[in-house]
Amino acid sequence: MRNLVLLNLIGCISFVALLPWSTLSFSPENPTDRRILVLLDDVSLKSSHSIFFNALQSRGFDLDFKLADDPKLALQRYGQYLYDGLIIFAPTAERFGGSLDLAAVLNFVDSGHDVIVAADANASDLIRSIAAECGADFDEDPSAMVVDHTSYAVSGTDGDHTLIAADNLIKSEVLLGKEKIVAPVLFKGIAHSLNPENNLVLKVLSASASAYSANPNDKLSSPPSLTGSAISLVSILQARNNARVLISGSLELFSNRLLRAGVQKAGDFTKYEKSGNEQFVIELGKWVFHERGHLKAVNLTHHKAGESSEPAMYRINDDLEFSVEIYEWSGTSWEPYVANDVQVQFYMMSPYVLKTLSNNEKGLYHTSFKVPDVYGVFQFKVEYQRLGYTTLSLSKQIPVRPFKHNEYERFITTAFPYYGASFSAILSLHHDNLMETNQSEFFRNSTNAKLTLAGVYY
Amino acid sequence: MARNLGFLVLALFVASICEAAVFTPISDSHRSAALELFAATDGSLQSLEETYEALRTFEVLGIDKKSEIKTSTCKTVDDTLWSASSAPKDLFQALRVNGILKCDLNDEAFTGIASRLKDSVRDASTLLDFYYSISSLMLIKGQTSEVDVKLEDADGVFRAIKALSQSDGRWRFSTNNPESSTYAAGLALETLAGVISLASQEIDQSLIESVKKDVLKLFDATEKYDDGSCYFVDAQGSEGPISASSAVIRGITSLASSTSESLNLSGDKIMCLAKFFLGIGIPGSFKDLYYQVDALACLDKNGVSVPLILSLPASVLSVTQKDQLKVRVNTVLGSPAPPLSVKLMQIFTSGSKDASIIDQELKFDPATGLHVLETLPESIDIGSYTFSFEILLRDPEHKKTYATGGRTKLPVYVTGVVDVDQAEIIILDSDLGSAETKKKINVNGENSFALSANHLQKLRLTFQLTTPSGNAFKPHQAFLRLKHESGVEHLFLVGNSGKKFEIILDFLGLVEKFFYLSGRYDIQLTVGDSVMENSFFQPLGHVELDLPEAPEKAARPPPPPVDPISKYGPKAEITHIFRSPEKRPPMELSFTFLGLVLLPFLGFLIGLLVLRVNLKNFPSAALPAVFAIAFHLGIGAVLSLYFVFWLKDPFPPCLHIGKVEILLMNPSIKSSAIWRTGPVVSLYTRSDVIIPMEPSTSKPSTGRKRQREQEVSSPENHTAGDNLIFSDTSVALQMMRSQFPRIDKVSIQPFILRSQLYSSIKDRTQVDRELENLKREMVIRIFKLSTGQDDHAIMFLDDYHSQIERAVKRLNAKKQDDLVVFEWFKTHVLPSKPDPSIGHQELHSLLSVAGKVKEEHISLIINAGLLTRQLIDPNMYWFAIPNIGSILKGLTQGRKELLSFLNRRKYKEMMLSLLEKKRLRFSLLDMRFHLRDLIGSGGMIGYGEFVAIIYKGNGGIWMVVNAKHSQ
Repeated sequence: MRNLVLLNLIGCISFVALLPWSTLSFSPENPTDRRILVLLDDVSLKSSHSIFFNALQSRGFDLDFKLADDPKLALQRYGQYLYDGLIIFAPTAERFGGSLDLAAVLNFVDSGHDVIVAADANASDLIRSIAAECGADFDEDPSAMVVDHTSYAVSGTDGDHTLIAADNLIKSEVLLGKEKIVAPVLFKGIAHSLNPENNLVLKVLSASASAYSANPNDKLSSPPSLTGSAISLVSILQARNNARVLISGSLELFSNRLLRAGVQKAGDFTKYEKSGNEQFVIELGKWVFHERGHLKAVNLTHHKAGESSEPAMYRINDDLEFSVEIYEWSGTSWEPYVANDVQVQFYMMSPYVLKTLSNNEKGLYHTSFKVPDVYGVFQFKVEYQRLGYTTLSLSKQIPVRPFKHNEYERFITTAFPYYGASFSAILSLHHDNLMETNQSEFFRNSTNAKLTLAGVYY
Repeated sequence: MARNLGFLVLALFVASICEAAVFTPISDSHRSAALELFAATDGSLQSLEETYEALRTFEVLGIDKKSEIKTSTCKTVDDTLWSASSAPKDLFQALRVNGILKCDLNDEAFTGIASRLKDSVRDASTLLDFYYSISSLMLIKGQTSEVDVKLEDADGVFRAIKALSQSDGRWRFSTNNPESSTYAAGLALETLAGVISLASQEIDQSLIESVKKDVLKLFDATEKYDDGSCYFVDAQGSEGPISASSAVIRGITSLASSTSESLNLSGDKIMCLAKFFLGIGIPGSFKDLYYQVDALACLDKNGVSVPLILSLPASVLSVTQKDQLKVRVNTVLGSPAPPLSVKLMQIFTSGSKDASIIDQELKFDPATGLHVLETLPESIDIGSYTFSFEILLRDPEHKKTYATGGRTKLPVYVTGVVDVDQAEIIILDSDLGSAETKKKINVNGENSFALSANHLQKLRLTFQLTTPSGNAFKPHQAFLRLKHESGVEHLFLVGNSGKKFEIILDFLGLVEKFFYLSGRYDIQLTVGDSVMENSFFQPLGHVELDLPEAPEKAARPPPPPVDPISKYGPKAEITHIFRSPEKRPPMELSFTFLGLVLLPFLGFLIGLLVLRVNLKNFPSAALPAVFAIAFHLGIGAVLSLYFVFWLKDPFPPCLHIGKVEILLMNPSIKSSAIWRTGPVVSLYTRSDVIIPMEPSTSKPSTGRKRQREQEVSSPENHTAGDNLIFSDTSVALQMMRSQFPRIDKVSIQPFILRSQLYSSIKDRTQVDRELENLKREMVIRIFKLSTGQDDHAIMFLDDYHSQIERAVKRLNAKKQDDLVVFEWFKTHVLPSKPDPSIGHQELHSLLSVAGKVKEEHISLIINAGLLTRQLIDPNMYWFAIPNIGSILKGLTQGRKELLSFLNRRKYKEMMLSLLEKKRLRFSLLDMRFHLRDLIGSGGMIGYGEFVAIIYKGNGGIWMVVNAKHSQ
């Protein structure tokens, strides 16, 4: 009985503790994640990877560190997700504690939440299958590591060329920040390849052409399955629901040791005081947790040229003006998004008009075009898919009608002969009528004249 | 957790080869990390405890930060020490800080505190109380010699603390708390060490012995890693392994120093703890860093045994640069070791078990403090090795105080430049083995061979690898890659026999693998190894392969990988191509023709002039002249109306005569007009509409008939007066009501079928909508009929009321009292329930608003025919028109009769005028009623104006009614 009361009390306290969280949590208006569950193999990872974690905490994230086999692990309670993001730094966890498993992680992603997964040599099947579901297949050989004999990091103590100085970074400001990462990124871990059928997953950091994935201590008996630039070291996935996943083949990539280490790439005499790791992981972390590259589109409006209200329907050949506002989330506020490649489609089964929108540098995109001379139910479609940005997909339906019968041009010159004919006939009839009824006797008696009239009119 | 921690350290030392782990003493990286962590706190330390931890860390690491915080911290220390309310814990922290900062404090303060602390030792019950008080006394002892800190009853205190120990060597925090912890053990040992040194007389030796045993037991519970390091785990889990191990180390080192006796701990145990602390690298939190540094500092100068760490400044030795093997031996904090010599005992070649025994002493270089092996042994070629070292202490005394950890195995990579010779690429003819083309490869330069081969030929690539010492070298990576222009890659391992590497690609056997893809293949050769300094990745050129056509069943090459980035980016713009406007003749041509067309008219006018046309016959008398003018003006007006109509569009509403005229003509036209397609009645005028009310058959009537006509007209007048704007439906309703056949046998008010409305108004949705409005406005009522699924009768509400009255009159004979229920029904149920059905409950409650309702009342209503029971749900009633039964029977039979009649005709069709003259035998209703009903319900179709056709198709019977205007 006492236990029960105690349990209730704990329940109440945790519920109360949850309340302030809910105000800070992820929402369409405030898309940055707030609460992140960090799963660790070991508590000491918390201190050995503290720079990465501190960077997150200093940006306002609420990190909840748990051991991967903690029996109380749960991502959701009463159907509500307790966290907005998940960091899995538990490469060897064969299974998670509590109610967390592969399906729960995938559901978490399916409901639009973000995940960082780091694997390492001897990564467990669980981690491998999480990555495989995201389109990244780790090398099946458990002892294999990425080895590169031409672009390794020179070091006096590390001689087996598994510490790789990688500089094949994806070129994207939204993923890696505006500042270019100059120093190579140190990587020590396992290789993965991207599933060619998954077109949402991208290599962020890829190996050089001479790299291969093998056990450095064993002689090779068959060609390694992953070689060259097909090897991905770090990949990202942005799902269709804009959930973001980061998959790294190395846990050490995030560690204080490599973040602080100096780096000199083999065959290159430039020595960098500090590796590019810190900038790389922190910038990528910002992207994953939606501090960057999150777009929203509002105020999709269209109207006839010269008018301001939105019509219920357009007529063919109308001139219309279309505008939409696009903003990017900066982590704290919505900033105008400036790009010159936003396009609108005027769409019915296939695009009839596809036009690039011009912007006013304040987030307002607009264009004007003529409605095609095809009637039917059209859609304004803005399908904006850019590397690293969330997908914008807007559509607004609008019918287009043909001319009404009285909207065509009247009094066409070509028809003048017909008009002339009709009216001359009418007038003639009227005159005739007038003449016929009021003719003088003199005229009436003139049979000749009567015949003439008859000849003309009957 | 132990398991997990194991994995962590494994992960951290993945680089290390299993049997050899690398541990390096504390170095500058720790110092910079400590400063960075300190900077992260903005220099503002929250409590004295944190201040102490920071100061202690900096002190050990040799960083001077004291001056920065001395003034502010000393003030806090002073306040704490002088405050009478300070708990032993606060005093302890303050004294600890003071121990490092050496603040200006007088002995007076210490004296007061010491007595208070002694009291608290006496009263202490929990381990933490003991710990804080005794440690504080120890600190006072260390900071001033003036104050007496001796404990009188040291034995008693010792026993009290000892009472908290457990059999497994761990301690409890208090007697109430049954759970023991390693962290507590560390604190307890430190406290006991304090008691021993504070004791005024010797402590009982047996007590100390038992504590020693506890320590040994405690060490049995260490967790071990594969690499030879070990640590303590706190059973309760409140403290991490770092803090627990650190506490134990502090405890045993202070115990060892206070007892000045051997603890019988082997050096290996200490060594493995040292390895643990060195192995965790640089912790990310200040607390952990403090624990690590503090523990290492305790180990660095302890009375048990000081671990010596052997490390290699560089484990990658380049043969070409003649690197020497250097070994450094330090204590854990990196301070120099006592005089000793290092011996290289064994060298293991990685990947093989065999070891060469060397037993060579390294030369000590006093300038750098390194032990150097000047030349590597002869047998050492490039490769990766594990060197095994042993530390020999010169002074035998030192063997007791230092732990060397036995043999230390460290991985060493000996690298060098490998010679690549006789690299050739040859195309061979298959059958003869004779060389077709032979190219020498320049390994260090650019190669771009353009070879060509067909499937009957072979490609052979050979090269030789020689180490600097002239031995054969087998690299880890020797790949030949063929890459087709479509992106398909093939990777081959180049095998070796001795020095010579050779690969022969027999294209005949490879066509399947190459997916029969002919064309250009780029050749790339990759040779690399971790000990090969000149690993290379070289494109060699390309080979043009001519392979046979693929047979049908051959495997398809994999689709070329699609660059996922390509799907991003803007699409090509699309602009709509508009239809070109219709071609028109030039304007001049149109005007020319206009002129030509007008010529006859001109001719006519001229003709009139020629004929000397006059208007002399125009009537001159007043009346005829007026009529003549009116006549001509009339015609002129009609013609000008045409002109205006042509000129103006949309036509002004005032002139919108519409088709209402048609309705106003005589009745036979009216009837046919209703059948015509299109909105028959469209009233946009505001003029009064006269709805014909005279049934076609009306004759000078009897009194009764006259009365009925008045009844009929009453709702009409009412509606027309209220609403000047009519909807099509209401007009149609009014009209049909007026055309309702006169039935003599049954007294029934006119009703209209919904299908009849459909027959006369094209837009059924509009009909339904307007009916719904009329229903809501209480103008009409809709009844469900039992004749068919979709049969609905519509009756004006006033008609319905009079129908009810008639039904009530017929019930007159029965109980008068109950008749009041009909009034209730009219006033309460009908207005609030426009739907065709009503539930029993609802009916009951609506009726009871007016008065007390009995079940008989409801049965009375049912008997009167106002309600009928639903067959499906007995609690639901349909509203019904009383007295309608015989008419409904006639309706169904009449439909059948009409359809079968037409069905018997040769062409399933009939002149409407003839059909209208026919009489139906079984129906009381007239032919027009039925025709409208059937057309509206889809049984027939009206078409044209002349004949009525029944057409039997797949779907049923259709009738095409063409009404002819005979007039």
